[in-house]
Amino acid sequence: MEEHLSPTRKPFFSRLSEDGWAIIVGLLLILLVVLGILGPVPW
Amino acid sequence: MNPSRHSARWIQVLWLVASLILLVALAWATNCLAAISPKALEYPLWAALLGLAASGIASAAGVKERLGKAFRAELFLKTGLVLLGAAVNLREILGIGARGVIQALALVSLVFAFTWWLGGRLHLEKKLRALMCAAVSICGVSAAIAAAGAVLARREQLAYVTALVIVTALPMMVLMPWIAAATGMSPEWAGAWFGGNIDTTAAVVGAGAMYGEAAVKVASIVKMAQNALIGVVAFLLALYWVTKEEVATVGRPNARMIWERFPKFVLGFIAVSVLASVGLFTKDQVKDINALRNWAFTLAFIGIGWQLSFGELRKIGLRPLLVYLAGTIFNTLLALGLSWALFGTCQVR
Repeated sequence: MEEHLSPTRKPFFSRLSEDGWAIIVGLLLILLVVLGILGPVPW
Repeated sequence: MNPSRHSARWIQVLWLVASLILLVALAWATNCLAAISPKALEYPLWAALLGLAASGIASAAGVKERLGKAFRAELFLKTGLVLLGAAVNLREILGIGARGVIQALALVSLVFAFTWWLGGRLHLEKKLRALMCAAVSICGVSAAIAAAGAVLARREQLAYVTALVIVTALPMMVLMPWIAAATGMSPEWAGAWFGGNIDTTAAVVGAGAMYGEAAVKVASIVKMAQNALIGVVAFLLALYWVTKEEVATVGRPNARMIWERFPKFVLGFIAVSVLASVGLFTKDQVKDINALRNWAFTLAFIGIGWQLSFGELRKIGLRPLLVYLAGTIFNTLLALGLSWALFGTCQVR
């Protein structure tokens, strides 16, 4: 039976590389700024 | 769940929270110190120094590994570079990037060849040579990791080279903007010089940030053009090892390796630049995104200071250190000439 089972796939976020996370976090921050939720950001 | 495993997980979560609190506190302190200190002491330097000091204290207390969970220098750096896309027009990327690719091809091949030759003359072990050549000619730690995978280097060899990269990059991050200012280099020329020469991307961005907005843009794009060559070099190294060295121990290299090693965050940077180029962001939004980018870079520079390990460096010995320093000096002089030829008359807004 077992050979017919597909191997367990990890959830999407566990498979994401550091580069993938950087893109997602960067785009999310930009989205928050564009929507007016984040800002003005002090520096 | 087993109660002891459950409590162990909670302890890990608490360490992560403590690590995040420390990181945020250091970033806040960096921002305050940079605001009140003279111009020469810009935020990248404060961030690295605070990271280094915190690392020393945590090491002495024996909690560095547990307290360092949130100090993800590479992740914050890449996030900052994605955000940098909002400040750079696509036309600028193409203009700077084309010159950057020419500079990168010349620098990577010549610096790699020189360091390989010198390492051979000083009888360095071939795998260590491959790691050092990749690190000094492309982009420091990431390139060393890619090369280590290609030639199956030992873990301690990678640790040596990582320590070398950070120990040389931090003084260069401070010295190069100072030299550029003292000799009156244009921001574009200086940025291209930093990007072509300093090994680790975080220190390139740090040096650029200390020299101004135009310099940080050119330095980052030039470095990203260089980073994009990691995959090609890893592929060629693996091919060399398979055909000339240890056929049995390395898997057969294929063209997919080039894509696997390609730094994908560069695509995020380009995508954000496309959004900015079509006028999606207002002036105030770009200002906010730039502030977020500075925070991300601050977290990255703190992480770089945190990662520095003098203990690893002591184990290296004199010959590898000499080879690495000679490769760095060769890179510095060659990058100075090339960046002048390619970026001497270039202008970025």
